[in-house]
Amino acid sequence: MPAMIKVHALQKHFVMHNQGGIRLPVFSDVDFEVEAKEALILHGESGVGKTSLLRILYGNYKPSGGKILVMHNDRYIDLATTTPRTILAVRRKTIRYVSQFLRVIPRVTTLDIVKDPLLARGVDDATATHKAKDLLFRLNLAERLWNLAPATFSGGEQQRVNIARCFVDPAPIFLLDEPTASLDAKNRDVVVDLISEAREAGAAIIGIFHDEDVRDRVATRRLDLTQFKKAA
Amino acid sequence: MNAIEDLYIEDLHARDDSAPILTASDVTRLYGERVGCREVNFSLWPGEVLGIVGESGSGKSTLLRCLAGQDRPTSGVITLNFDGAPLNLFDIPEPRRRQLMRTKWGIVHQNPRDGLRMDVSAGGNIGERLMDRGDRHYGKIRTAALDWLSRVEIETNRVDDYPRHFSGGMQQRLQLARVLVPEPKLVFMDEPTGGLDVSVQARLLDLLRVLVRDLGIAAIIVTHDLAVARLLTDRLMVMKDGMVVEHGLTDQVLDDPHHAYTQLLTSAVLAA
Repeated sequence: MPAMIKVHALQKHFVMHNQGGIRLPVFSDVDFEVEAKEALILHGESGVGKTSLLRILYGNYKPSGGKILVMHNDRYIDLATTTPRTILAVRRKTIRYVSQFLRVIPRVTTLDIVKDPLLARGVDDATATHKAKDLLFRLNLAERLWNLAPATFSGGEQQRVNIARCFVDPAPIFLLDEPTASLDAKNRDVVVDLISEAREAGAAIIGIFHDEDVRDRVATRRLDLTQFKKAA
Repeated sequence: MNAIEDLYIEDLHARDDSAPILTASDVTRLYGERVGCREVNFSLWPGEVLGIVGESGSGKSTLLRCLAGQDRPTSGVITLNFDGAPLNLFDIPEPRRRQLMRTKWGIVHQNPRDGLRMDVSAGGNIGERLMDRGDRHYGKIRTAALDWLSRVEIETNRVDDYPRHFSGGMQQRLQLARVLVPEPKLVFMDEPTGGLDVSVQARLLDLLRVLVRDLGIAAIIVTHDLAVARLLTDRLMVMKDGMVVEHGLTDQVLDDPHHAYTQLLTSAVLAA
């Protein structure tokens, strides 16, 4: 299996210019690869840099050094050095990311939010609507909520909208930041199934899961970030 | 289970090989001793939305006026490329530039009164732009006007009303229709949600986002509102004292700002 993502000598620190130029190290010398059909679970105490690492892999944080090679259109692209335009193309086609919180335009309905990634890639409205409804149904999100904006939803409902938006358009790489944190057992199972199906279909998964049971069911491999924290 | 390749739907919006629709090279605008903007460089591709943020006086509106052909830069070159034939914006004769301004690109002003004809009906405001383009068939123009009113969520029975009888939010949506009806490839927006109530803003933001996406328009949006920039733009330029101090992917610039000024700007915002 080819590696879908290869991380080499990755390091990250923040410099706070307005707080005396203080330098906050996150990690350094991070090295790993993830192949298709693998699920790598990031490990380590809170503050060790798990979320920062996922954000870097999504192009949301800029690495301070190192390489992030992502298999995109059958070739590797280094996210650390490529253009914003290429990162956007990689996000449209190759990488899906579930953040801890849903961030959307106010007043946009749940159905429109979930359809959006498909429409953004030029898929016709009927197909997008069909796929979005299927997934919302599978995630047990009550149909009466589909035409409402999620601002007033519970944490678990919002999280399911976020997950639906990510899985409505499967991609070769999934980055998952605690996607099951506020879900009940039934919906946790649905999400575990979605992840497993994507993985078996050939996706590479990198995720953070605090729930030990979910972790055991999803993981094929674990990576403890503590070692890299010490190096930083 | 399908192989992962079968799960892809071909990316119809992939535009990797296309040329930029607009390129700014060392664009500088000085007002005597005072700097409007200085040495601005960037390219914009079809379908891309670029945000320009900064405080009042940072030069973002000056830059926008230069890019939109309304203000001649003191130095530097702005190149537009609509159909494979790049042209230097300030190298072409004034009448030609004016004609292009009405057909190939559009400008959405912060104050809808600057972009609308207040003594012309809503339908007339839209239809006029089609006549500029050479359309003469009254029935077709009327139909297009009604179609655009509904696209910007204005009741079609308001077609003969004057914009001065519209609310601020409706006026702004009418301006949007007037700008978009000739199907421009490039749109410039100066604080498009600036004077509106928060609830009206949200609706306009979503409308803008959907129209830009569906029409494949490239847009440059000047705003001082970082939340607007986050929701509408792909890339962001941060300006201070006429210079671009940081430029990158919008969410990256906002979530991991590197320049001292951007850090100040993002940390000064109340989380919403």
